[in-house]
Amino acid sequence: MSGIKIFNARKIITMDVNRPEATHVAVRGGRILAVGNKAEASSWGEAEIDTRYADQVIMPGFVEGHAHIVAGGIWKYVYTGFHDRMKPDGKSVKAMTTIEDVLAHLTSEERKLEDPDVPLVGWGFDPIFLEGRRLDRHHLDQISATRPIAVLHSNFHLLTANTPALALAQYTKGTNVEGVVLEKDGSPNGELQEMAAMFPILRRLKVDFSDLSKDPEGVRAYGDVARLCGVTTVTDLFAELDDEEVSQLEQITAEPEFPVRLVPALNALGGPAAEIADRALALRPRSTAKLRLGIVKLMTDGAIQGYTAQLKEPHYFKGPNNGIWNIAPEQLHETVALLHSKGIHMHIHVNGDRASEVALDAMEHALAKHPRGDHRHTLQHVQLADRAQFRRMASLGLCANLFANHIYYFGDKHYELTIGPDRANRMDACANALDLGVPLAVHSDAPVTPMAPLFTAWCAVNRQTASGRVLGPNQCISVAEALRAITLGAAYTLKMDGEIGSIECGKRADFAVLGSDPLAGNPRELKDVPVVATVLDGEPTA
Amino acid sequence: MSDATLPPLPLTVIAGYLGSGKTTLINKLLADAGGRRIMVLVNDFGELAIDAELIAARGGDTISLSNGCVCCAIGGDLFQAFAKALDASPRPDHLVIEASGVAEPDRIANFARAEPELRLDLIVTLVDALNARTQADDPLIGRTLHQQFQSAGLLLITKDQLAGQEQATGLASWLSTLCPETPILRGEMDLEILLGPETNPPPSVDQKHPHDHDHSHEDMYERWSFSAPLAPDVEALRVVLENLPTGILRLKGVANSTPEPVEFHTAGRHINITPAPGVTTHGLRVVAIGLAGNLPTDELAARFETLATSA
Repeated sequence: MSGIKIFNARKIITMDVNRPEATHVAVRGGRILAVGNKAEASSWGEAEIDTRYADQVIMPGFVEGHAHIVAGGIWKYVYTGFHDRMKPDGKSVKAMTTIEDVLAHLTSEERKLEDPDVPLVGWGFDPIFLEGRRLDRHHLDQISATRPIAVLHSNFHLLTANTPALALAQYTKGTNVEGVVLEKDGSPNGELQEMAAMFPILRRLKVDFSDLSKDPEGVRAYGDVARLCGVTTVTDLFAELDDEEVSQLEQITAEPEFPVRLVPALNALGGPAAEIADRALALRPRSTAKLRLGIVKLMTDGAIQGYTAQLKEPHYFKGPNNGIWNIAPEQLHETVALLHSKGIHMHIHVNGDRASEVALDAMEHALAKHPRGDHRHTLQHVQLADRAQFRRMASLGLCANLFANHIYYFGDKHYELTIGPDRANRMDACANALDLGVPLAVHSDAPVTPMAPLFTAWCAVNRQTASGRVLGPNQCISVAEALRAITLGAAYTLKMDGEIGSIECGKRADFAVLGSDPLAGNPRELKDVPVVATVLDGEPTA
Repeated sequence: MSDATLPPLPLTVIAGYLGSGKTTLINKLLADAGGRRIMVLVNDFGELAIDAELIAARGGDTISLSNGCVCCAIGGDLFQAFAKALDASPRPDHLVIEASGVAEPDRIANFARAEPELRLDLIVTLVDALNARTQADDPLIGRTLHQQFQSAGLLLITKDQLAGQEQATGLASWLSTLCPETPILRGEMDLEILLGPETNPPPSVDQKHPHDHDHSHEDMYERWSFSAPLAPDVEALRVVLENLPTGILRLKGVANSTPEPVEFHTAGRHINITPAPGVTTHGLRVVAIGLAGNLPTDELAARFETLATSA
């Protein structure tokens, strides 16, 4: 046998400018041999024809350039969100569009628990989409008045607990703690805001996000979350990566059934810059085909919806300016310069326009000191950058990975409350990036919003909020441009565009198989294009 | 989960912008812990100057000292840091967290305000006499500095020698207009101010002269103590603590009150009263510390005597 396999499809969208469309792709040893029509794909000799995708559309496997591995482990808990979501086992959880739906679902999950002391934990709850009285402890007490219950909200900054859970934390009438929301008579109503107030409950219910990230089943579930939405390369953009964790990742990603390439980014807040650089350089050679090590993540500000992003004048529209720094701007300058001088590839979280300005200044300073081409440092989120900042990104050679999903999930809130119409209309400005030549990717930041690159691409194309408002139509991009951003564009930000992101001779045979043609359909229905399967290294993943 | 029956672990947060002297203060604290087993959570081991002879053991992100103290790296995750401190066995006597230069100390302190096994003892914000005024006006970080000042229970002006008398005094008066209720210290900070008086105040031998008054620490500080046979009502005690005269840096006491015995602490502007089920002695005992010549002993005596006689 030649070991050559040919997949045929109704259409292959290659993302390769030399051959944008094809019907057949020949694969050998995990690599692409030929792309074209049947005759062209058969030119390498005898081949086995695999017709399983004959009626479908093949694209390059999607690349999720900003998500977190906890999006896998979190499924240990009960999903309570407003949107349909697919579990790692492929079963769909129906959207819960009223409080009654949420309570009914939690109740049925509660009845499955045999041990009365085991807490019931929910996640993904999103009160902004629900009408009527806001979820409180009395709702949850209806499910059980004895079992501790905690429901994490989708932003992970809030939770709602029932009375037994509040009692564990000794939150009672008279409690006066910031973040513990009270009823009129002074007793806690069950809602807890921010980590400090949530800590006593999470600790007692043993909900630990670091543990969830390192749980081997959670890592495997993350692979499945990615696979189910067509992703074949996925980042974990803030990892501790101690030796134990790296060994475990080496083991799990080497399992033949692990369906994705994983790209964890080392957290640079974990220690002094010189140590982080050494650690990243030591990790880099441990990379394999399915585990890519060596990139580093830096954090600057907080989040816009939490009023903790760093904004320039005129600051927040309605609400307090609680902008935070995770690193002092002067320290960011030093850290960026040092990591850059050591050849580290950086990804920098910036939400507000003041944060992006500081990151641009730091980059400019580092590049002046240590000129280096093709560094591919990437600004992550970059939600409020104006056009001038995109021009600077272009001239400094920076990439932008924009948080397009925010437009749908938080766009209305940004328009009405946080930043006001002007800046909401120019947020996550994909067209600015493309116009000015800034390499573009778009992302979900899962589990903050669900991982689904076609949905993310839909957001970049339509810029439609949950209420149906279109935010800044001038920043809409075409379907073709959006598809590029979720494949080759994201691969470029990871320095992997030479091996993945398009279907062309010599590249890795990573595919997303779709039920319809995203280029031919209505752009408004892009998010509804079904993902049928993925192929990694030439092998179907499930 | 650790033992919830232990008294709450007191937390001191050391805050202040880059270069304000946090590491210097922590080095001093570790070198001379005075027998207390302190757990110190720092951002960066690299800058600590721990005497090699003092190091008993060194793990990945932990250094154990022969004097009973432990030093850990925070690693950017407060949840993990607090969980680790509370699960440590044996539990330390005091937890000290070095906030990062841009941290808002209240965000750290709020963990201790919420968690029943923790007690917020003090936020001390260090203020660099050479640079703080300029930094406080900086458009990027000014707001952060102001927040660090506002959330402090005590302010400590550092580098005052380098800056000179005039500049340090100017800074102190500027700070006192920003934070009128917060005591401001200059230069050094004694361990008893940073962590509170070590022992509970002794019962007075002579009940006719319940006050005791002494100068210590080379006369930099002054100490006053008091005891009375009857314990006041907790609410009456709270009113007194919330309206203390100025000049008190630290105050600590126990009261065998009804419905339950309590322990109380003030650290500058911070007050806390916590249940102390272990207290069996009768009555009320208090100790207060202030700068020599600055402690309002007469006023303290008057207020606590009134409190004790109302009991």
